[in-house]
Amino acid sequence: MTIEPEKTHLVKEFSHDAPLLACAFDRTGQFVFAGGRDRSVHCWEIATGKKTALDAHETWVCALVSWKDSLCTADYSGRVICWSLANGPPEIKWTIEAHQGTVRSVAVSPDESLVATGGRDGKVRLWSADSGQPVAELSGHEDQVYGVVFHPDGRHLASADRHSQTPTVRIWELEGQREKASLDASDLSAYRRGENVEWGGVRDVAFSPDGSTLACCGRHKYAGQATVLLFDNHTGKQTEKLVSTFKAIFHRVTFHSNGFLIAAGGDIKSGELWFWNPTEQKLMPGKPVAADNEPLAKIQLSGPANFFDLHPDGRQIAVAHSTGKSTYPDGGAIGIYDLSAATNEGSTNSSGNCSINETHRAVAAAQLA
Amino acid sequence: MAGLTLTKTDAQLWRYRKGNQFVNSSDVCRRFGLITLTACLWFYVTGVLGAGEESVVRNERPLHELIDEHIEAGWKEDNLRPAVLASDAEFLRRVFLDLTGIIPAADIARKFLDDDSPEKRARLIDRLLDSPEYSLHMARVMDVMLNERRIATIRSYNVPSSEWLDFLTSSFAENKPWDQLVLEILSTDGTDPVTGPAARFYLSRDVKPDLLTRDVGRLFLGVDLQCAQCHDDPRYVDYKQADYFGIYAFVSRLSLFHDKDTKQTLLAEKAEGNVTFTSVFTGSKGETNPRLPGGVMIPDPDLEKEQQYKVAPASGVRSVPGYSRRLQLGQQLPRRETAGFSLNIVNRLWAQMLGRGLVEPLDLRHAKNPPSHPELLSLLAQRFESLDYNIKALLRELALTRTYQRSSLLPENATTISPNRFAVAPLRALSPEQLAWSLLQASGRLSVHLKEADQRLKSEDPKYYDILRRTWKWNKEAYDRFGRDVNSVAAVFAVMPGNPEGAFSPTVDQALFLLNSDTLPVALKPDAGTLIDGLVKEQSSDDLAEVMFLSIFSRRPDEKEIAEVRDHLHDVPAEMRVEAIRQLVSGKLMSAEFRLNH
Amino acid sequence: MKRLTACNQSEHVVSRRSILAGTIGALGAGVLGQPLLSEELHARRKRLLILFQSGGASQFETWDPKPGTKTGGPFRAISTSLPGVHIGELLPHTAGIMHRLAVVRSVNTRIADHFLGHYALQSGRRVPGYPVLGSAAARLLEQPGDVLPGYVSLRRDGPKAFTDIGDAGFLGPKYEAVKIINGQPPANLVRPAAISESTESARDAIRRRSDERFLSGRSARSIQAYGNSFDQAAVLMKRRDIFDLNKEPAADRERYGDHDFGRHCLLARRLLESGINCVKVVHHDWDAHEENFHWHQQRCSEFDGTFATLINDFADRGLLEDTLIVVTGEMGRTPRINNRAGRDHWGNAWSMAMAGCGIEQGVVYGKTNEDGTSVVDGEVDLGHLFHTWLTALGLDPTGHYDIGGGENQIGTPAASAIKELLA
Repeated sequence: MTIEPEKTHLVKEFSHDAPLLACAFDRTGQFVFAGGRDRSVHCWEIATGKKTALDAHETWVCALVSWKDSLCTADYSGRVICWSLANGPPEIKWTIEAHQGTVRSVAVSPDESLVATGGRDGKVRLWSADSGQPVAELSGHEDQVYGVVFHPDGRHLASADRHSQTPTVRIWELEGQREKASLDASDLSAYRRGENVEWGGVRDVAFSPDGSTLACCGRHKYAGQATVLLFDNHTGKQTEKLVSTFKAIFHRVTFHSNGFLIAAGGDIKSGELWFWNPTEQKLMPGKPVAADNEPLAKIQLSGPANFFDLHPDGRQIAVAHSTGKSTYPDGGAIGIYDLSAATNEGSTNSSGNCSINETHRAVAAAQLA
Repeated sequence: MAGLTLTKTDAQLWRYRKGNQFVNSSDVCRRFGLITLTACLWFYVTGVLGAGEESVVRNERPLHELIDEHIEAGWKEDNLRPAVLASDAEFLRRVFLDLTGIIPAADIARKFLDDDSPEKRARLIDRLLDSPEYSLHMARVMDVMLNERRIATIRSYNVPSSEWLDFLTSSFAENKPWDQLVLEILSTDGTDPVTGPAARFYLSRDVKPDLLTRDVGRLFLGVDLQCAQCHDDPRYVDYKQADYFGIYAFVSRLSLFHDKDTKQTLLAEKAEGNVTFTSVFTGSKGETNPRLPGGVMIPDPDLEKEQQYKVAPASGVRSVPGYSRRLQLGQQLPRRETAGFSLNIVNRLWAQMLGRGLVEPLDLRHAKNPPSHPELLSLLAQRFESLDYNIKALLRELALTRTYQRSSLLPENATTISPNRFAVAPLRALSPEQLAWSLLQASGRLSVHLKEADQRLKSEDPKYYDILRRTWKWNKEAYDRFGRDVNSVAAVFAVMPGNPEGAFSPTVDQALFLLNSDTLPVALKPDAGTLIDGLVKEQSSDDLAEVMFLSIFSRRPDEKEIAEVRDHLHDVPAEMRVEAIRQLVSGKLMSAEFRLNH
Repeated sequence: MKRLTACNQSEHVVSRRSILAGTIGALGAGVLGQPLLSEELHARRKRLLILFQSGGASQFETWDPKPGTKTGGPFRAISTSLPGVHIGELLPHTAGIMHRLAVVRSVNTRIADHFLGHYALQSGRRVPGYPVLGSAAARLLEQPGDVLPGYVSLRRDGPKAFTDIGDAGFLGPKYEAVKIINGQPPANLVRPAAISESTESARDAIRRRSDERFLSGRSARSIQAYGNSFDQAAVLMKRRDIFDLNKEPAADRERYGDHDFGRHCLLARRLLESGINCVKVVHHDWDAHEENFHWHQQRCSEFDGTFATLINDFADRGLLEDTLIVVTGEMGRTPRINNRAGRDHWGNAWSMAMAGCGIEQGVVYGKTNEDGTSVVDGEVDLGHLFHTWLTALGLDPTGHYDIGGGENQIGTPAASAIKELLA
């Protein structure tokens, strides 16, 4: 089944009684986990819709990442818990107090040996994925760290902040534990002098499958449109500013293994998914190269999107939504969307129907951080 | 004697002049002929009706005599010795400030002091009332009284200040009666090309019904009903919650309408909406239609559905009801029959001249705060009504009284006299605007500029110079040259927006402003024609002292003061002379004698 | 009709001589470098410090946490130096000094508007025209011989600052706050270069001579008031270093925090120690309609460190027992979280805190229900708070201002002080 972003449609929806802030498929693609405005990690078996809860956090779970047989969940108090998914119901492998204050983002390295966390305290920290032992601390950000992601080569890491008026993306060299570059993301600043508040800043960051391009997302200027910036990873220079027509913030951006960009965000009543094809090399078969800013597709979601995760098969995404009264949403949902024209709901497990080559799949799997 | 006021024709002439619309001389002559005819008719009409004349009813005693009688009654029994009458110098400065808002220029002062005709004071009063400066001053006074320096929350959602001041100035230039002025202010919805600017009263308050209710009561009826919003006022037995909401019902259907295309801000009004209220003290409820205090409820007429709106409310549309309660307010309030309407204005005009009202504070008339001279207040109200609310006429009578013309020097051996006896002239603060303009006048800068503007007009328009020179429009434009400077100085001395002027309360930041800002240094630069320039050129220090005192204090110096000047300048090296003169001038400009109206 | 009453307890009656020694009298003898305030005066004068959280801080994220509820937000509650009492985890330093504070959790003013809220919380009334707390206290605390302004307020300029309405009302311009905006000292405190010292003294002498002559035979009050304002100006020019934060040790500037609130609080300490009776510091931008949790993390971390430092400092320097410290915003924030992860305006069940002069230490007054949507115990309104503050300062809120034949009670007659909060 060809991936056609413009045909993206909702295939399943799991509802919840509180807004959901983040989500992750497990690596088998059978389950989706989510955290939201309560203390539990929620789990849905996709095929059956069966819902279970994992209770170990003391406050809202706002970031998740999964890798083979494992799931990491992080909360507002700075606690990160690693769960084993190997046998039946998840079991806690380790628990750490990773940061002072909210952990905004978690990521896992391509070789699954390291977990990276970024938090309110402005630090990026690396932990052993097996044991939770601290491995390194990367300091330099001057504000809350909102996105961490490993480079596909496994030797570098990118993290992003919301520093007032001059948010940055930092590239770190893991071996020397040093900062390699600081990218100027001021195009994502939405500073408002009247309130001395930075409403913008970088919300998420992602590497392209070949590692040559870095994307970061947010909104450009106060009350402006959701925006993605692209940087050349070698030169550190900004190469593209993709401004959507959606007046909102993109909370999440990632590259599909096929090379196109996905970004999602939400505003008062609505949520949208935007797809761009930013590089010539990664042409969609049969699709032309997109002009500047021209998206491949933009899709209306059932509600504001706080986060999304790509299914291991690259064909579906899970979006974490807030639902309910538009002014005071008091519910949440996970929306499973299919990135193709398929209507067959039962094929979420299969990988063979998509035209993704094996290398890309591995990269995609590693990239799902 | 009715002055030749040419308001509408002023404007026409002005447009001709500014717009260069002289087509040909016969065209002009034809139009000018019309204007002259209108002017003569006007003269005739006002002369016949005697508007501006006190002697309407010729067997009545002049009001100013009656005022003095009332004030002086009881002094003998109380052994109260009043102050003597003010000297010419005291009177001169005081009446200039009270009727034109600026101290006299030095040459005017000298002329008056040297004039020995017995009727000079009465003549001066008439001249000042007739001057364009009177209109400019009263416009400023009324602006402050009615708006209390408020700024709309969205600053631009208002009538521009210049348009509002033009409206007021022209109203005073034509001596518009007070009731007519109030009618225009309260009736307008902002659309009328002539009276539209009066909407500033509503718009400065964001058309908020609570603010409007309180201020309509305070400023037009002399009662501050704000505490009666939630319950009958516990302090003042006459202030009832029903009174508050009776006024409220006139304005509760109003809202602000901003036209995005024309950028104008106007009043919109609904055709429905009733007013109910509950006392937080007693829990008792009430419902009311529009009703003025002491008056009857005004029912809404029964209108057919189609007639309820002239312009129905819709998004982006200014609704205009078939029956407007706002129009009712404009018509009902400014009438003799409305309780407090006449009392309020005569009390305020009295306060403007005499420094405090017969009722103090001006907006708190109630049973436990009676007037100091109740019969006098009633008399003033009655007379003002019979004069058809002629403000100039009343001010004239006030200025002619002995009461107004007392000295501020206490009688010998008097320690203090209670201010509500009006037996000695009070020491009052110059208003912020009076202070700013008087600084400009004292420094000579105002004269320099007016002279230049005058000469320019003479050379550009010799034919109509005489007429144009006296129009309020020409004068306003000439004085507005200093508008920004005056506003920035006045701002330092003004009270916070939304508050009445209140008693003299000098603050340290004002003193610092006079001492260390560049206001005085700039004013005292020795540019050609200014005071400092003139003083520098004076050879004798006696002459210098005289010019200095006439310019600053509007009087001649006494011997000691001349000696002080002489000593100060004695043996001063040439290069320090300007500085020494400036020291004298700035020291005196910062004195209490300059700061106060006395 | 009662007179305006100021402190009239015996220990507050200071000899005129000692006042002069601390202020005008000392002028002649090398004022620069004089100690900020003599010890005797230190001990006797009551002072007021208002820390105003403009925009409205969320009580859920500060004084009255409700973790684990639908309304409580993500932050946990932490224990404090008061056993059994918890506050939000974003205020760890404040938690350590809870034993010095009195916190009220049961405020129900029903005001959800910035403008009215600023005015009402500071004046104790909804009806306009009354003086705000700083102006009222300046009037009621002033003593003969006071030359410095009675009330100074520190804030920034900028659009949102205009919601801070409320002034001295009918007390008049003398009791208006002297405004320090963006940390800049009041204007015109320095003699300009163009005016030499000899000119300054010459024209001052000329002014005085003129006033002396004018005074003779006339009512003195206005003339003297005007002359006094120049005397005060001279004092303030000589004492202008009280506005200079650089005169405070660098270590203190660091402890208070490198942000506006920190700097302004340190300047407030300096002003209070210099003889200013009432100071207000506005901490801006609490109005978190969007991303409430992110912004409270920022704002609380600014507030927390500075506030705890200030309280401890005041205690160490002997200022705490004579200075009433009031911490409030114009309202609280909604229990419900809106679609932009923010909280909106809320006046029905919120919190504030106070400490210092006349206030009982280590008190939590009032309760809200489980999800913070209403007050269940100890409900208080504007008037109660205003009465409490005045009483704590040793003033009588049932005294009157006399205006136009009517008695205007200083605190609204409908309320009285909250006894449990008073020491």
